[in-house]
Amino acid sequence: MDGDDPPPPKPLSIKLLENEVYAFQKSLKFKRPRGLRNLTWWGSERINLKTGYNINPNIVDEEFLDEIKLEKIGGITSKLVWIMRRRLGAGFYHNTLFRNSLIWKIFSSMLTKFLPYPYPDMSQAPVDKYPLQIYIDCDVLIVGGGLTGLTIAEELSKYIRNIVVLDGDQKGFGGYAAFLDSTNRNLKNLYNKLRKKGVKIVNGGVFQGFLEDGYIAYKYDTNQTIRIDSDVIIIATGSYEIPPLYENNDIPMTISLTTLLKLVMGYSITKLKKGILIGGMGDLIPALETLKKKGVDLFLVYRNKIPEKLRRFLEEKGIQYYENVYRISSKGRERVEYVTIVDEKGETLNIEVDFVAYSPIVAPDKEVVAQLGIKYVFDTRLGGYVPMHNLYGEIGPDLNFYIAGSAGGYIPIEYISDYAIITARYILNKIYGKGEGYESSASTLMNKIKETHPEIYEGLNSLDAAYRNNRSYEFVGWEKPPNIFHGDPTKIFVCFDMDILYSDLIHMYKDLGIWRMEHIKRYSGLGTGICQGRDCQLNASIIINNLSGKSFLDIGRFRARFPVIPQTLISLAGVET
Amino acid sequence: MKHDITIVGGGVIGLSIAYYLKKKAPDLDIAVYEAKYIGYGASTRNGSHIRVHFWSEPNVVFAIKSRKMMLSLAKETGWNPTPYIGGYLWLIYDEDTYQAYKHTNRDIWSKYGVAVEFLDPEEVIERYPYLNPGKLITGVLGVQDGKIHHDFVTYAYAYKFKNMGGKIYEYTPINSIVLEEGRIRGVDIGGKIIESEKVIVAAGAWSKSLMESIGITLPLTPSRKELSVLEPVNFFIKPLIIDMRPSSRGLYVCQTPRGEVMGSVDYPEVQGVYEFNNTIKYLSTYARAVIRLIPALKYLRVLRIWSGDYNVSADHSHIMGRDDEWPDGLYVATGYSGHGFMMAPYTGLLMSEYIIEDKIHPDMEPFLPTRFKEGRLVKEMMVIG
Ligand SMILES: Cc1cc2nc3c(=O)[nH]c(=O)nc-3n(C[C@H](O)[C@H](O)[C@H](O)COP(=O)(O)OP(=O)(O)OC[C@H]3O[C@@H](n4cnc5c(N)ncnc54)[C@H](O)[C@@H]3O)c2cc1C
Repeated sequence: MDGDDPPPPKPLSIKLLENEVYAFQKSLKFKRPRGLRNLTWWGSERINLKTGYNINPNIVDEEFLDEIKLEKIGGITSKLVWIMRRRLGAGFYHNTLFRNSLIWKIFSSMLTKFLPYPYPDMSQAPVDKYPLQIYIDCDVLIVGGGLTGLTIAEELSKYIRNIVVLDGDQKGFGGYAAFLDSTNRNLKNLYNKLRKKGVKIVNGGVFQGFLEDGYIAYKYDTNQTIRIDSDVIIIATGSYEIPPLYENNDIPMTISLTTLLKLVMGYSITKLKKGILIGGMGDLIPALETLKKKGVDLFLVYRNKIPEKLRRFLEEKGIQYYENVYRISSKGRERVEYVTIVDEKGETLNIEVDFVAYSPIVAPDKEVVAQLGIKYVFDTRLGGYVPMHNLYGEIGPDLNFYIAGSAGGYIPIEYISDYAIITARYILNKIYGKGEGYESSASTLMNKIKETHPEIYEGLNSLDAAYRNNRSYEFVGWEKPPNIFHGDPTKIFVCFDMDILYSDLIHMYKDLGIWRMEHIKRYSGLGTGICQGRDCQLNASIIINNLSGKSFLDIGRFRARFPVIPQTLISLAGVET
Repeated sequence: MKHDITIVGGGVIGLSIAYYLKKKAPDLDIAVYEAKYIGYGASTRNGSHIRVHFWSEPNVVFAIKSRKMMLSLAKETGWNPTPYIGGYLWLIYDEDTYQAYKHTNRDIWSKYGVAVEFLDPEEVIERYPYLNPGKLITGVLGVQDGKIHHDFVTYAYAYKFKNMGGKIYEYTPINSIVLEEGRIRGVDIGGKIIESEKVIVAAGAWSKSLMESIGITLPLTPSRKELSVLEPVNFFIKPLIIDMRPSSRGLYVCQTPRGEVMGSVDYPEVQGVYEFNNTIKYLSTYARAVIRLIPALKYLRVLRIWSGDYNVSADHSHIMGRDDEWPDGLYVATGYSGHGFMMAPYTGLLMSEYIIEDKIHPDMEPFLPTRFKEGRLVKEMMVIG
């Protein structure tokens, strides 16, 4: 992204895509073929991300790469187990058959012989050197170098010197906004300007979380731990798209809208010519504009009625769309090849595609802040589970941690910069006693939001009030959740790591009376894979809420645990305490 | 509202007691109160190991029976706890410890059919070629020990108990135990008194303070332990391996049948009830110790990390039953140190006999709370999961 530096090496996943290998991921449990879903950072497969990747380059050998070919994925045992499990449900091992201890013994020893993973490098050489740790000692650490993070850095840098921005990308800046025509240029300038100004931007560094005796980040490209000493930490980790629930939503090349943008804009993948976009909330217009310019032919699919403004845009640009969609299903072997769409009247349409992109629910990426154990509200206007904070991003009067931008709930992209500036000014004022006032700019902004997005305005206000009263609340504004389509529940995946299906949740609720998220996790393993619940938890709660009518706050969410992304033991061994 | 029996704590101990009580006395109104969700305490945070190798006779006897019950739990509850009997392997580095194992084997284990194999260093390396065991004296292998899914046991008891008509209240903490004229009146929940004939305290690490609030001191010290799981790889670590070098700080490591590598060290030492946090100290100490023992793990990545409390009693053995000097109707089952999960089935069975039939089983007798004042300690040196 930075004109001076050479481009970063191409990630393995991109090389594979270019060679038309789409099914290079596998689910953790049954080795079901998968492709990338939520590609969050450059060089992603080095670390898995929020995707369910299980390519660890440190233990990948040639044979394993070979195995990536779809025909070889799975293996006979995995397939047998999968068939059995499909018939018997997620807790198939509780079936009468397996309660026989002899059968279980034989079966479990067979399982351990055929686990769908490579062996680690078995060399016996003792390890005598560990990667050295890196120190960051600063006044303010900003986690996330997207539009929010960089805007805050700029505002703070007027008064404060020692600012560090940490971003998960190996190069560049942030997620969504960085790949939109409308914002890319500004961001690039801002990035370069900040670097010149002496703001330290550390790429390829993922903030891993808050531990009792310190905070650490992981620089995955060099496999090093970063120890952080900062007076203030601002969490600006943005948002991400929750996968929709429909038949065969697990077939490779089912990807988030941000991933699509990254592939097309960031990696110049040209094979993605035609696809559907399952949309819902969020800023579709700038993305549609950007993709159209690149010649990507999109067909918009909406679970509900399309909002007027978006409809006008689609008609003006001649983009096809389908609203009130009742049922979707994908077909394809190595990747999605076509999609069938059925509306509520039963009208059916088959579309040939190269990919399915989705953006039905844009949820705040709150993994980092969740570790602080703060309270949540549930507000569909703001993307589901939202950490409690006030309008300015404060999460506790005595805590020097702040949430900024869409990490704290959905904010329309046109307001992101202004919103970030207000957070920055609040922090300057409160901690350093410096800078301009924030209150009047805040009320100006809120008035603007009220005019264009009254729902979000309401959401932000409710959240602010909840914070002040220290009381959680629940707002469910979905008539029909934008991400659930009808279909055969045994073909709809909820947890892509542990292969938990919609039908498994029905079984858990109806037959066993299990409905709390903590119980569901324990019974089925949902959320214990590499995504650690990021992709599946909200979906699972929506399903349970639909089945049972129980509130989201009662259904609950399981505790977010360190680390945000998997981190090698060897990089931790070098850490001094 | 009124119950016949109230159980404080929805951990594996409280739920096992609840289940066996209900089975024995289906007509009684039995309720479990849990401050958070089922298993919130140590019961969903443990290493899920079971073993019969203890160093004191009463524990060996108790563990053998509990193990047997554990292995037939699938038939009993309808939930398969997915046992994997891969053994325990203790790596021993000093002569005294070695001798202690020999003596225990001669005096106790051999008497009860608790099997051990003493492996010399060459054999250890031959059987476990991935180990880099350093200056090992001997490896002690106990093949009857293994792993059982802890969540499945805890939840099996809970759901089975519920299906039989038992009551479970989650997110309902008990503020205090209410006494009246030297006997139990009930419990205080959110300022309201719920009457109950009997109250059983099975509140894990929180038991000490709850009992103290009615003037009863139990010799308990909660001690926080941290655990982590690495990404899954093909199965190659069959037993639970315990590295007894002092410099390894109590390292143990194993692999679950689904491929994840799980392990812990006894560092940092945090005593008392604290938040379930984690530390850099743990991560780096564990990483170094486990890479030293199994270099193949060096590039594996930590998926998640968590912590839970050992509720350690003065002699490292559990405390169950009651003291006749206590208010009538009050019972405890707590202080299970590092091995409460494996002891849960038999605890439930014996406690239910005691409470319903007033029968103290000889296997339970050594663990009564009165042992501390009577000086009949059940000194247990083997504390790890
Ligand atoms: C890291 C670790 C590893 C371990 N490994 C093993 C192992 O491998 N094998 C083994 O056998 N054991 C192991 N253990 C020990 C085992 O987990 C415990 O001994 C066992 O879970 C204790 O169960 P419990 O029901 O007594 O306590 P807990 O599971 O702690 O349950 C107590 C419950 O009481 C609730 N509670 C507390 N106060 C109140 C109140 N006032 N009102 C209502 N509810 C209340 C709590 O929320 C909690 O859920 C391990 C423990 C730890 C921490």
